[in-house]
Amino acid sequence: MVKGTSRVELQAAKTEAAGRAPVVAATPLPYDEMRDAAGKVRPHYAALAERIDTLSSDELAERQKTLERFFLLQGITFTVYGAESSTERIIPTDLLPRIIAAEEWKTIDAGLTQRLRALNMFLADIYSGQQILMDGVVPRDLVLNAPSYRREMQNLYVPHQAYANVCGSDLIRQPDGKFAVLEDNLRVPSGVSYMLANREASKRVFPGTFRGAGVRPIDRYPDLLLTTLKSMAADWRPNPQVVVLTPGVYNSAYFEHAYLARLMGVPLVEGRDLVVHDNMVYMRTTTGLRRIDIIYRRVDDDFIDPLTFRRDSGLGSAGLFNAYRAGNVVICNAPGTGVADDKAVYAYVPEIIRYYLGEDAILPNIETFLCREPAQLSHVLANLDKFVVKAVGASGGYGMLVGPHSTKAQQDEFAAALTADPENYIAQPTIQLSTGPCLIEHEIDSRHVDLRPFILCGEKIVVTPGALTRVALRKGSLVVNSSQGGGSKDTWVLTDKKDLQP
Amino acid sequence: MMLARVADSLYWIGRYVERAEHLCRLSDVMLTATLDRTESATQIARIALAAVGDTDNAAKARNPYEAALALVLDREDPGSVASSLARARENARQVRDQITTETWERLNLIHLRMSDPNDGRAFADGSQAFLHDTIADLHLFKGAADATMSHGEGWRFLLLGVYLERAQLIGALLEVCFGDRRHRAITDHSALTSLLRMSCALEPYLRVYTADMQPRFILEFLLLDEDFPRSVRFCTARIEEHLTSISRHVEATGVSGPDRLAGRLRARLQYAEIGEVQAGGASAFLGAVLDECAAVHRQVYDTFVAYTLEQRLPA
Amino acid sequence: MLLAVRHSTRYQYDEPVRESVMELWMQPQKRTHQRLISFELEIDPAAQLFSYADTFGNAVYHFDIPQPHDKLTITARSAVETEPPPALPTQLDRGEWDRLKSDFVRGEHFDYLHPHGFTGPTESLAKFIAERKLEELRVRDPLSAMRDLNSILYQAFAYEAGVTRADSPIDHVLKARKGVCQDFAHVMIAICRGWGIPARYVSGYLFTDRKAGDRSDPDATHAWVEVFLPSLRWVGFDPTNNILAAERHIACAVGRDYSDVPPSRGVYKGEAESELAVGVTVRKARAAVSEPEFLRISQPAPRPGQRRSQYSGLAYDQQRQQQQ
Repeated sequence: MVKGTSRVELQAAKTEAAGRAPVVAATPLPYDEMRDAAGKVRPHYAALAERIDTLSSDELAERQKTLERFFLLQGITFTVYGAESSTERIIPTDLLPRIIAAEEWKTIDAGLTQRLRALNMFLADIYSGQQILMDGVVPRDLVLNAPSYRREMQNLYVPHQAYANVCGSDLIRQPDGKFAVLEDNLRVPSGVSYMLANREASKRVFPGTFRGAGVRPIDRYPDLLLTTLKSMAADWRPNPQVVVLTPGVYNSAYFEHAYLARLMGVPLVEGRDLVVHDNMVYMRTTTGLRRIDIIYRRVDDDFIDPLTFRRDSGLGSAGLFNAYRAGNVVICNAPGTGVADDKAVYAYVPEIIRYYLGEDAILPNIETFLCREPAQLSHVLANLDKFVVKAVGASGGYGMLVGPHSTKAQQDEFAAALTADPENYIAQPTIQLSTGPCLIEHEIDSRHVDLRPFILCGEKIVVTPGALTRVALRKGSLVVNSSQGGGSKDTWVLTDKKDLQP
Repeated sequence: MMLARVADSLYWIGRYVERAEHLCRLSDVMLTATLDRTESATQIARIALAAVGDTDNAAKARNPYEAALALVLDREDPGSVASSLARARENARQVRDQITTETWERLNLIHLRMSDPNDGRAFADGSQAFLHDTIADLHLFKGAADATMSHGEGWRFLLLGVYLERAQLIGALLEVCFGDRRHRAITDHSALTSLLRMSCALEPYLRVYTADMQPRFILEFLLLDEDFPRSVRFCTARIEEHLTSISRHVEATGVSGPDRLAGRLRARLQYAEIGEVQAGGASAFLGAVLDECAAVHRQVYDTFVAYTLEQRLPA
Repeated sequence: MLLAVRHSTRYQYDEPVRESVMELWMQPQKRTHQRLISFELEIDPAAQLFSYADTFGNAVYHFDIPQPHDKLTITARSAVETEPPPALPTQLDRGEWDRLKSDFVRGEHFDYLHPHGFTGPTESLAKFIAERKLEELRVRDPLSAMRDLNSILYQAFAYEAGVTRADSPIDHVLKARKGVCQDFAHVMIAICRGWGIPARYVSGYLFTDRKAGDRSDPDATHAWVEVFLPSLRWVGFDPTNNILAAERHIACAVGRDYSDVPPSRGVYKGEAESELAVGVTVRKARAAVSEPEFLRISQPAPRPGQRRSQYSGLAYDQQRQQQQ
């Protein structure tokens, strides 16, 4: 399942104009992915629109069934745990692909590459000389006091300075049609298996349209991931042994872990399969211990090594971090990357890009107010009814106030909390997500969507030309989280016509 | 090369599936017997329950229907069919990427039927149909594994589990029926027939020995027949075959591998003669066989799964 | 002063355990006024030793013991030559408080200025500060304030082992008004950091001198506090014994609090309770060791017949499955 980025904060804001201009302008209509303001179908959607028009609603329903059967047969499910038993369900998947024009993708590709390059430089810096902190670009205590900052990582050698090897950024398209970054996921981003599976399914459902549209392929992802991981190995290990480390079968993303391991052709291991001896990491196989060079871990920092991190963890292996420190094994993503996707550090990413690369950010941020700054705090306090306020450390929708949907009492409660502990809060204006056509109850209707592309970073940075598009299946809802009625759909990134073979 | 944990899971899937099938068959025979004659029905129920180690109930000989119900559906009892299948499926989930979708689907389906809240009623409505369907589905599972899985290391671990479990189950059943602790030999025709049914051996037996129900022949058939897939000899031959293949990859570690034990066990059955077995007392022979099965199990564990690290550390 | 230290640690398990992995913060530091002459570690059962420097610059040794064992003994022997630090001025000027606020100090010593683990402000600490009128100390210069704080803490708490544990928060000692060296160090660190004075936890040994009024247990490891004063750099205070850290103190490791630098820390596999016994002796060495500074690591030869039954360590794996 997709990492729990809660999106309750994006609940549609009531149209309201007041306060400072950039914060709360009259909320414009959401951007429609398929049609322009005049209701005309955008050129890159033309072929799909035509195809849909020729299909009856029964035919569409039939295709939707084909799609769902594909997912069920593949076992692409997530587990919902009840009190007594658990059930496995498929993620709701929408039939109609979301299409992104070649030109737009160029911007996204360049923007994401730039962003990950800067974030990895930032990580390399704060885990060594801390120049950016000395220069006062990012407040020192914001970084050093973050729970996700791992002192253990200080002065460790990380090949290619690639701390975050796999990144899944959440983008949204604003009403003016521009993409913006809502969140960088640098810890253990998930969802890539749905991107791949959605593509498999949509090839079956719309083969003709797919062929005609010139969709850029994404099926190299597993092999690019493997190449990225292998590029992290020491030169003297020419055939590095790669493994995927999963928390186990009870993890909601277990399917994805098994899926990636299978597609890369590497073992899927759990902590109990690992043994650390004399600073080397081994796995227990039927034929004895086998040395491991690279661990693509899907286990959080806290749990990878009970000796160094959480003592009560049974998901990792004791001594793993010391082996990593000695350079005998590589952990991907590196521990401690979470500090760069921290909610408060997020606000500084445009500054970070400028600091390291001397460039302006290609993809903008969502405007974010840091309550730690007194001026911004008073602004937030004065406009609590219009902001979404989030606790920096919390996730999953805890410790959050959605201004337009809150009561006076809740606002008062938050005002007190903000005043008492301003460093722990940020605020953002409520944002409209763009909408795209979806098949809902046999009819085509608009639903809000976001975009999570996946970026790999080893020796070089590669953005896979595709993404997971998440859909808020309830009408009007802006919640795309799969645990809250969200679904997903395939994302077609079109080939530039100039590059097409005649 | 495969992860020790994965091999372990596959091995236990095999064991649990075999155990579930055997228990279903015992329950089925027990219930069928009650339909006919009450006297031998009691004896048959006693045999069945004793064979699964349920000596308390065997002594009391409680209502065979209730005993069968508990044997099949009691989730509190770790030895029941429902528990065995739940564990088999749990193990399969852990190694979902190692078994084919066809194999997984079979097992998943059986498990879902067993855990249906209405299963108690389905059992009451037609216990024999229920048991029959479950056994048939378990055959389909094994067939799917055979037809769709690569016959490599993983598949061999699965079958190793099946045959080791089977050898021990049949061995235990024979001990109950022919062992020294039995004061009077079973002579009742109906009981002997049921014994063959419990081993799924009635028809193959008739083809070899005709309808002449002799305890000595039955023991010989279930213990020493070369071709019958539920004879102990057949099982031990398969155990040796799979272990030899699996052991090829293990570096010599100084410890005697399980394949040596398996070879000795297979030879013991291959060259046994029923007269000698009976002269020495069936219990002595069966006891030795069961002990060696247990030893093979331990050796498999120690060699492939939970080997002590100090023996395998790189120099 | 030439000192020889023997620090033995024994873990006893009521069932054999396996795959023990352990880290040690036991090597005396090489620092100003403290010269490390020799250091030996002996591990039984034998194990290969590795080391690294942690984020605070301490030497950490680590090792693993894969085979089943029911006892683990670590013996650290070191010889250290110490000299008394130069005498401190009677007081500093009050401008020292401003120098403490400089960006450089606040940046350089960030970790020692912020609450961590047990060294955070708590309600009982606030009550203690109010009750002892500690805020009034800040009227004076930081050095005098520290001297007074050191004595006040010494008077406020009785030394008694067994009241608190290694992982006790400061509230325990503040409530009981008795504890051991690490409790006093934690309380002092929390107060210093609250006042903006960088303070760090020092773990090490003390050559106890009863005649000098030392009350800490001579048979245990010791802990005290170092505070950073810009004019003097790091100055050691020992609130347990109401003295400045000097030539009888041997520093092994520094950190934000105890949890950063426990003498030994490890995990193992197995269902067993462990019992820890520690013995420390610090004595004056008779003759100066003339060899140059070196580091030696010795390993005992593995003793035959020590290995336990190979099944006992497997409980963990086997519990997962029903047994025959």
